[in-house]
Amino acid sequence: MGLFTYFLLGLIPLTALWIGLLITGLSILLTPSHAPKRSREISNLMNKLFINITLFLEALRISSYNLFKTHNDEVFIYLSREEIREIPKEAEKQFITYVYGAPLIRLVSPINRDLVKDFTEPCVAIDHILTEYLDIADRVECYDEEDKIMLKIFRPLISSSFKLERSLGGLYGLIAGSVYALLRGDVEISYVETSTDFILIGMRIKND
Amino acid sequence: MISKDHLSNTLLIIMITLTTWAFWSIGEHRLDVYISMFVLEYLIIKMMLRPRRIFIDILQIGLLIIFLIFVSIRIYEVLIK
Repeated sequence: MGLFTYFLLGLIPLTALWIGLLITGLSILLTPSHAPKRSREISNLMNKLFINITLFLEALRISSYNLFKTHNDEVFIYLSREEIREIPKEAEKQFITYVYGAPLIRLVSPINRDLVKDFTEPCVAIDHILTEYLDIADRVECYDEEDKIMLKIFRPLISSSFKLERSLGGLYGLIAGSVYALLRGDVEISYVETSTDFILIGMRIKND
Repeated sequence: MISKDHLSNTLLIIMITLTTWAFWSIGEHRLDVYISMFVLEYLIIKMMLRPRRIFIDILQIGLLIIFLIFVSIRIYEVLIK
């Protein structure tokens, strides 16, 4: 077989083919077979943190409505069981306030202006944070239509609890919502669908 | 769904095989032409799909150096003629 290939192809193309196979072999060797170490560490940290937040939200029965809002260079996530129409002035400074008897929780997002300062397009920024900076997804696709945004995140490496996904879209929703709030304005996560291969996040820009 | 890491390796082997066949069919017998093309294909796939690597991509650095050597030799040959 070797002789047949040698006489058919000749020495140079056969050598080139072997070099090509060597390049592919090295490329396969350099490809990690599991999620990167940093992703796994982040996954563990986030999961533990999220368990606490989820328990807290469960205790207050808050899991229905959210609003991502930018103050100066930071993003605050407001959570309530009632639809959030406006944020009272005191809510911008306090962790918990009551609006018409319903508790309004203010969380600080880990995503701030520094992380997105080089970007003008939210989708590109989210893709950079998820695939390059944190390395917890394969790629991101965005679909815009007026004030509605749909994000498809392929091969997510971190899973969040159902309760947290419903309240603020899990870790991916938190990042996506924060980036949109920084680059586009107030945003609400209204839909999350999770499968093994992708996460679908539906958002709505609220600039009224 | 195939991950971008596996997709990049699959595309690389397909492109390398096709390149070898294409150059062989036109009677190309310069090894540096084959290798330069492989390097370009690797770099294009790396840029387009951004596959993950265990640590820094030493293969990319090595291939880039080899490519630069080949290009330098070609430029030198043109200049001394």
